[in-house]
Amino acid sequence: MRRLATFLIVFLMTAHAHADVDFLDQDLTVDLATDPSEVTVTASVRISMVTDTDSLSLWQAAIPLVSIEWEGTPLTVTERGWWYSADLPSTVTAGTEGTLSVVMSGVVDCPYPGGYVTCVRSADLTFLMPPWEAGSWYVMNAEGSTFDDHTGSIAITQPTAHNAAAMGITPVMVDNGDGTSTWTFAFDRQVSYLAFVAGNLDEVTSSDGFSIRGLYQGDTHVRDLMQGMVDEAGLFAPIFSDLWGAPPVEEVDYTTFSGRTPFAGTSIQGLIFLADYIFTPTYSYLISAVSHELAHLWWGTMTNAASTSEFGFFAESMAEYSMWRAHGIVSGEDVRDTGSRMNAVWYMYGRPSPTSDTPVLSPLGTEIAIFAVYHKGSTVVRTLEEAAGAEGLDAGLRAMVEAGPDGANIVDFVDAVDAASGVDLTPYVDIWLRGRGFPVVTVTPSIVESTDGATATISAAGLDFPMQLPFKVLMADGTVIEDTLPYDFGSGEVVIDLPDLPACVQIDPGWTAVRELSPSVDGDVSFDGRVDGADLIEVALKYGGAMPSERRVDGAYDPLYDLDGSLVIDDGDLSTVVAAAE
Amino acid sequence: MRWILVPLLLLLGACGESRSKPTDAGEDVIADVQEEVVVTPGFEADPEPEGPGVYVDVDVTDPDAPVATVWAADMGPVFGIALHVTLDGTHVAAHDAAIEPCLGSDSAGEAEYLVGPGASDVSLGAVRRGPDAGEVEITAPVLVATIPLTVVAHGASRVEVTSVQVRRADGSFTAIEVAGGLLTTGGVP
Ligand SMILES: [Zn+2]
Repeated sequence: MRRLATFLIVFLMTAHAHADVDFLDQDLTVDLATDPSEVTVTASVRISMVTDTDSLSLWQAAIPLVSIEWEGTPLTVTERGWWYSADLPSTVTAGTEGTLSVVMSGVVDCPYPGGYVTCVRSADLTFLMPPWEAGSWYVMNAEGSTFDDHTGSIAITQPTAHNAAAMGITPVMVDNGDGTSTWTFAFDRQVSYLAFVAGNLDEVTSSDGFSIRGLYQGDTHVRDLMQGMVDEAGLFAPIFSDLWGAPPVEEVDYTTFSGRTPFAGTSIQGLIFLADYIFTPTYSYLISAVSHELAHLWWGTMTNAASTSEFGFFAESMAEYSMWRAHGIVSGEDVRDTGSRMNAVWYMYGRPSPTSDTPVLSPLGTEIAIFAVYHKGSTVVRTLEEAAGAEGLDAGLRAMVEAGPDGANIVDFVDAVDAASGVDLTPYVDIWLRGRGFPVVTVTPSIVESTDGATATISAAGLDFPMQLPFKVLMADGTVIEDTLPYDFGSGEVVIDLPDLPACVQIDPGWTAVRELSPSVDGDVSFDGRVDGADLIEVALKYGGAMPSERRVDGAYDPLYDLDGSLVIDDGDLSTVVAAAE
Repeated sequence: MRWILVPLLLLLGACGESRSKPTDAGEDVIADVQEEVVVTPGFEADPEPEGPGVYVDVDVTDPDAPVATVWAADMGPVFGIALHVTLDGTHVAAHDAAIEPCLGSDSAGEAEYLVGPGASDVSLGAVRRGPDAGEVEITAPVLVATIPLTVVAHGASRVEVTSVQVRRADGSFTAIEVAGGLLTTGGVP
């Protein structure tokens, strides 16, 4: 049975620390034309010695090692588990540069925990990803505490009819005249994680905006879904660029992939792998989350946090937040609101138990961290946006992108937001990101009719989770009056003059915070201080909403309207309003 | 079925003359000329709304038990209606308000209805059971509710329709005109 794993992100690791050697550049050739089940890779790696060195430490090869030479001299290799050592002919002094030449040829083997794989090689489809456990298809420095980035190129020779994509690089294609072509992807940016896809892949391209290629194997249904995804990405990428900075890639490539892979989607710089099963009806709801992977180009590749507890926030919380923010810009705030609600609700009620929880600033890798980091965390960023204003928040986020890989951290982020907006988010970070849980807020409206309209006083009380809750007053003539209810130290109040009695007051209809609202009068979901037909209509408008049993499924569930707590908004809730009004 | 009864005829100080006032129906109602106040039970409705509207009528056939009816007209597609009927509690009081199945059958699961009876504030609500149930077209006047009244004291008082909202299945509002009226109660309180 295929395990439905989460969307993952492969991040760009930065310059190595404490290594004796530094990889400067790596040119790779990949032969996919000679044997349909095997791969031949040649690597020419330019290396600079940081200290006097007599041995290289390299990641275990994913493809059988044929030869390894330093400046033309064969090296002796010793297997050491997930890595191997290659003894140099003699000590190479610090500051010396030389070329390591490696040839690998045969069947690929890229194991991933649990028996999964991160490489596939067949006549029709080849994809090679960076290693997780062991088995790198290119030469990786195994020294140091982080990965060694470098410039380089990948030249793939394959049947001329085939297609290829790698890391957001626009390829240069040369027809070899023998039924094969060579696709060369050259990168002059510093990268340590290399990946490509090649094979008998059809292609669609984005209609507008950023250049996106969608490579796929499948029928017209798959094609149409892929077209929708690349069109969305074409619109979203310029939005992210405008907000936080242009990406270091020329294009973004989406590709379907199949095989015993552990994840639904993976982003490796500008190359986004999408498992073929998400194109099936069962998992079609994941299609709407694909732009989360696009956002990882900013949150994961262009920047990330060195701290394991902050890594998830600056990668997963931010990618999820970014996707829904772009939805709002392209399709309207209502669409954004559905995502924010879905994420908040899944964190609040989808967890295995109410006591099972962890702060947003927690390391990834546990089930509960998915609830906190992806679902609560993305909504907390929305909360921060309300607190500091979009411009203030964006100044902080831009500073994080500019800080680059390993450069993002909460303290600098808070400082940058403060400098731009004058709003100190420290209490928000302490409570929302470092703490657990969410507030249940009791809202008490008091609406007094006056000679020229009405005055509404809306009070809120509950746990101390700072937030600025937007609210809307809907008038019966269709007019909408918007304002904000400030909430701090567990309470808040706002007074607003209205031209008439309100038809309905909606508190935080856009779900800018992970919170539960509780009217002071049971059944008064319209927050006008009384239970009447206005409440009946409000509940009926949400009728059919149900708490989903799976993450990322939008059940249109809003607990405010689930008056009988059945996790479905249905006749029982309408009856509850009717009974409360009697 | 709306008519305007001759409301309050106050013919004071006239000597030996007869005065008449034409009704909408063109009839003449002759009042005796006397040196006293004549109180005739009746209901003078406000001008009926021109477009989408909710209005009230009161039948005073039994002066001791007037019956108010609430009507909706020209609304177009309707998902839900909410309103209040407010009374002057010093003159009349409401009891046993009954809402009509104006948006579909309750028992068949098409719509849900709400009545919040108060002596001087009756809340009424009618709604389709979810956006998937669709809307109901209201053009010709439709009876929304019937509210039997109890007379508390003689005299004239306003019957108002307040806090009306009419919404469509997408949550949007249809702007509504309302019409109440002046109810004159007579008989023995
Ligand atoms: Zn992600």
